[in-house]
Amino acid sequence: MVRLKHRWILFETLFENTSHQDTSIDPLTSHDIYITVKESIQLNFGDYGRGCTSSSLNVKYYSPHTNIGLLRVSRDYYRMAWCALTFITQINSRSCTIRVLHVGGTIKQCQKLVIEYDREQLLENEDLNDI
Amino acid sequence: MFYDLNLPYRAQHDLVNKDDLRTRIDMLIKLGYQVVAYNHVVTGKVSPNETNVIDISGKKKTNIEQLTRLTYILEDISQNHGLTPTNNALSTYDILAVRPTNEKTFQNACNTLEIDIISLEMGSRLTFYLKHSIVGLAIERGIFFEISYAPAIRDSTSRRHLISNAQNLVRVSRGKNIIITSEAQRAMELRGPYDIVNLGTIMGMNQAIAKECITTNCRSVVIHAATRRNTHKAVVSFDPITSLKQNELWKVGKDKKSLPTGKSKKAKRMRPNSDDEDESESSQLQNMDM
Repeated sequence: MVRLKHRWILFETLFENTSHQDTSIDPLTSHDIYITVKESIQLNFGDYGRGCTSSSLNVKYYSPHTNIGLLRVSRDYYRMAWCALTFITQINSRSCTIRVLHVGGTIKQCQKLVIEYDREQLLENEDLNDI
Repeated sequence: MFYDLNLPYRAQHDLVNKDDLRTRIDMLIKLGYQVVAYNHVVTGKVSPNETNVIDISGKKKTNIEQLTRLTYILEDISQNHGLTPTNNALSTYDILAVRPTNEKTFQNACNTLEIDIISLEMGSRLTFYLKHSIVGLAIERGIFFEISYAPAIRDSTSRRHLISNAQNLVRVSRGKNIIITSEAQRAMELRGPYDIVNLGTIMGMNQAIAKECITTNCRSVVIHAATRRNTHKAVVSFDPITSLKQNELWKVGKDKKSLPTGKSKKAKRMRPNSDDEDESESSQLQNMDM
């Protein structure tokens, strides 16, 4: 019996107007991301792609504050899911780019990376404020 | 170092354009690129007294290296397009590319033209076959082929064509001498370097080759261009002695004050070339793919 293995794709969403503190727009949820990724796979890889990925595809985490999310996908088809992410141009009719930060085998490794990345971002902002 | 050697540049100077360019550059920096080339597209003839339309003088302080590139659209082989090494207008640009639109011009570009990049309109159906015999000639001469990914992000018909054309190109070139660039009109069409590497894998390359397409291959293009422009027979280049720094003056055994300005020249060997001397004699354009 072979265990089903996953890949965890850590991604960041970049929006056209960078003021993500804008309160007039509803914050995105992980469900919104999931729907968008699913549609993108359907569009680019068709029924076959949907079938291959649907059993494992899941957005485990998405934070609208830091715009960082974590996507789980079966290890054999992670390139397909990654491509689908690359071809996404809008989420909930907001124009958006997805940039992959890390692809990992375990959720733990990804968590470590998120924390490190967030810290870097915070420090960078602090530096800017100092100037 | 990640390169993006095709960022479209519109020559009109208005505020919208500048802001637009600025957001695209910011996006590139954010995504982790270190070198960008602004692309100016020309149809018709390049007259010798034309100068570089791309103004990068005011933007020197950004932490991204900026180059200029001229893309010339080849429509007819019989037209006099002024693509000769003596054309001064061409040497004002860092990189020279052509976009052939039919079989004849494509063959001409691969065979004879002294250029750095052959760019193909991949978002639509190509009107000619890419044959290994012709593509191989260009590869031998150190010319690179360009795949621009932005059309694939724009709409799904172009995506279909781009994937098919790119796979064809990768097949006939056997994954050699390919660069991947953006050609992004808007900042939202740019993608991160590793996303592009992954995109390369669906175009039939493996991960290592796909990564080369945005790193070492692009570097080769820049070096190839520098060799084409600044050297004599791709071997020797000249710098005026006045360009030497104070601490390098010992090389000519003189003090800077005693020099006449700008007249004397110093030869600098670009590349040790002992084993293929004959080749460098016969062809001006050396394959710089190291």
